[in-house]
Amino acid sequence: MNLTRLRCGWLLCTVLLAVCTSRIAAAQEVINYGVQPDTDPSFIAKALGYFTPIEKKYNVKVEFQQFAYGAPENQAMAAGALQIASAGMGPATIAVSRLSATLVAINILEQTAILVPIDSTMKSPCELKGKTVAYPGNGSQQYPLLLKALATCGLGVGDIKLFKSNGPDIPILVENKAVDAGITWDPSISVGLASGKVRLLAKAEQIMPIMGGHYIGNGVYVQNAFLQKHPDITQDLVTANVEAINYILCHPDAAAKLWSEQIGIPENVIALSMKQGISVYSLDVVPTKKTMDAYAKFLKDAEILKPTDSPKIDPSFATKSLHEVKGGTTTCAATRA
Amino acid sequence: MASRFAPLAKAARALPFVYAAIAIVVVWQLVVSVTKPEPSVLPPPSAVVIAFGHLLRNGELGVDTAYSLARVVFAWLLSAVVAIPLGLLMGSSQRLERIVNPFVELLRPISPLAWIPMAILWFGIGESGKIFVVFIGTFFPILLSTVAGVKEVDPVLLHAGRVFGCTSRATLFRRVVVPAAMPSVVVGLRVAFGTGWAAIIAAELVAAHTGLGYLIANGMDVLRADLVLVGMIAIGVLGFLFDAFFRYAQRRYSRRGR
Amino acid sequence: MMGTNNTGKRLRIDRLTKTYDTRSGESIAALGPISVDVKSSEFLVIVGPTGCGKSTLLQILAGFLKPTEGQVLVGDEPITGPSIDRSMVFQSYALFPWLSVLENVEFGLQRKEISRRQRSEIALHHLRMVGLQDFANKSVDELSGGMKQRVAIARAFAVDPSIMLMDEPFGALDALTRRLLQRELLRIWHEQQRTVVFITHSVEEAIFLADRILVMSARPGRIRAEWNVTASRPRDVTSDEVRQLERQIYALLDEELLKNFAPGSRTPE
Repeated sequence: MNLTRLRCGWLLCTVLLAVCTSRIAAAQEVINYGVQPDTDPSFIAKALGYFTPIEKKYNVKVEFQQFAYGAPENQAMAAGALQIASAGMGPATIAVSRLSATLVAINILEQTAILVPIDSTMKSPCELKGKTVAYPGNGSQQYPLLLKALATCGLGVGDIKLFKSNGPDIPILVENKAVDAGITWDPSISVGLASGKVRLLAKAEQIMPIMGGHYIGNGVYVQNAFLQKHPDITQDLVTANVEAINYILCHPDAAAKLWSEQIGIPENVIALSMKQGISVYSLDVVPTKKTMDAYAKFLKDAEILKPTDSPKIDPSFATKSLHEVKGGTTTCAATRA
Repeated sequence: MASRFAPLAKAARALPFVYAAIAIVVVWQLVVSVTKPEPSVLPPPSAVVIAFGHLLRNGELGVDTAYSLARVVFAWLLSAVVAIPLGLLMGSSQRLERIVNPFVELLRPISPLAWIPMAILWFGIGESGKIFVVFIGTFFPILLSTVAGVKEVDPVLLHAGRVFGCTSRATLFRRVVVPAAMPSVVVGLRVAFGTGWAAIIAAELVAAHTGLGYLIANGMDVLRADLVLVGMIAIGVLGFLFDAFFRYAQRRYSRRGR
Repeated sequence: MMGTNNTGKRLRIDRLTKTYDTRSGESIAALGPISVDVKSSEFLVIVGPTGCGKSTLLQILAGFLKPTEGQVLVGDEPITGPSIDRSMVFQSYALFPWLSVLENVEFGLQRKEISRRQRSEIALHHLRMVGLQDFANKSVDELSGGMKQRVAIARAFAVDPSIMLMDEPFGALDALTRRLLQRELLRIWHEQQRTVVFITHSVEEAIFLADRILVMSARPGRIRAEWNVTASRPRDVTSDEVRQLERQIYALLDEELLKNFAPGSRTPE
């Protein structure tokens, strides 16, 4: 008699518990965080558990959504499937100009370079006249840089033969001499360099240094609805990124190992990338108006942005994160200025 | 007397399509006005019209259309040159058919779209890869309808041919089999053009720097849904016009005898 | 005009048989033995029940099939295959849809000796014979069934054959058109005097047209009976003479038809 009552009690408790947890789980908000398989500080933040306190504090779950390149990532955000995204500055700028989204950080610098076959005789982009150049499309971070490189030499896009391809395929095309040169993003650049069959023709900072002496690589942008509803979560996510960058600067080899596990690129390739300054990190991830205006102007000249497009930026979050992290534990200087 | 009303009658036949087009635009505008989507996701009809005018004026639309069209026409003609003779021979010779058929049946189900990655790998970045993909899409319909055309020739026509002077197999083939199979061949050509048109768009989405498929892919890259829609509408309208042209040619061909 | 045949030739069918081998290895005798001597310019009509092999016989006469035994001789020459000299009119018209009416009639005239202009002249002449000269440039599908068959007849006569083979040519037409075409055929035959071998399952048609009627038995088809029809044309199908002949032929046909359904008879396959 008593046993039955005990059992009933257990059953009731289990049911109640299940209902309670499911209700808690249902109330938990999922933050869909778009990423690409590159050396993004977001991966370091995730690997080191910097998102866990955020998840606990706000009762949210940060879920990474992987994309091969920027365009589908933006399409997902346009469809409302992403609340926050990390992508190349090309797609990022397009998104914050055309969608209800705001740029809150520029967390990777450089990240772009022009490659040629190892035995190519070309010494500068000015020699690209009449040549075939592989690139990842008009919406990429690489296209404006290529245009600037040509413009500096007095050339236009009509002076070269463009061929559109996937970012990771471009070093292979250059290696096979299917094209004369290629411009793509890191880590594909470093993968190509590591093979020993391609070399750099020009680094991005040699062409368009618009932030701390470097080209801008990767940006983080947030859906406006999310930003308005959770400015606090946004702040903490940006700070997590800056903390991750601090770790990268202090422990580059450990960071390379963590990235290798997350995105599948060999450790030595990532180490090469950082040593050669193909991807550069700085605690200062603030998207200043000056930087963005320069970049946007160029995109408008290249007809990627319409004259009426105006990228929305909010430097306040990154500024606060910089202050916090600098004032906190030991920081390590960037390896290159 | 009838000729005076003929142009009017022709215009009247186009009316249902005009109604449908207007209805689509009206519903589209309503959806935009009511749900107010992001312009990068669904622009209003006016934005598409503006983009259309812009692309027309700066020549881009013309160039892209020309590229896509040229690729399809070239590959389609190439297919016809190979598939029609092969089909005529296969239809006439059971032995040849038995040899070639297994290859056809194994390769045919592979959609031309599935060939795109391989085509890029084998042919590289030039036009040949895209031509190859369209060729795959156009070859089989032409081959199959040619074979069917030959096999479906009314046997009594063959009898009549033999009675009325076709003494050798070659003469019978030339004077009776080939003309009798022609309507089926023409149907195959029409269908093939349609599949070729679809295939080139898919190929250009992936690996091209010009063409209407590229226009769409590029529009997606830079979140210019208006460009995407211009591309889609151009593709749809052109596809429709081609089909109408082919049907007209079919009718003229069969009516006048030759 | 062309200076070839002026009348039809004699056609001899000499101890003809046709046997088929089935998939199961049996031999089915379809036809024969048949021996017929068709006189030059004779209008011969063959009547028989379904499946008796009359169409097979015509196919052999045309040269599409080879007999298992026996031979067919035109004049004194055995036939070897289809020939323009043994012209044919088919039940389903067999006109070439990609050619105009005139081009259809011209089809058999494509020969080195005949110039293009001569071809059209001959073809037009024969179209006039069947009253369709105004339709020369029309396409075949614009014609009614009766008109199509008239074009087919024009085509068959245009090649100046010595023998005309006709396989139930009016079978697909309505009764009124059939009457019209029967008369037209007779008129042309009177003019041209070719040998005609005509197959039908209509006894009335046979009596209306024939100089001689052959009745075929059920399979294996053999000549069961023969009548010469001497009444002058055009024949009155309501006259007692004709009626009596009809009755006799029907009686024979009924007998033969019953054989198709009787137990113990070979089931047609």
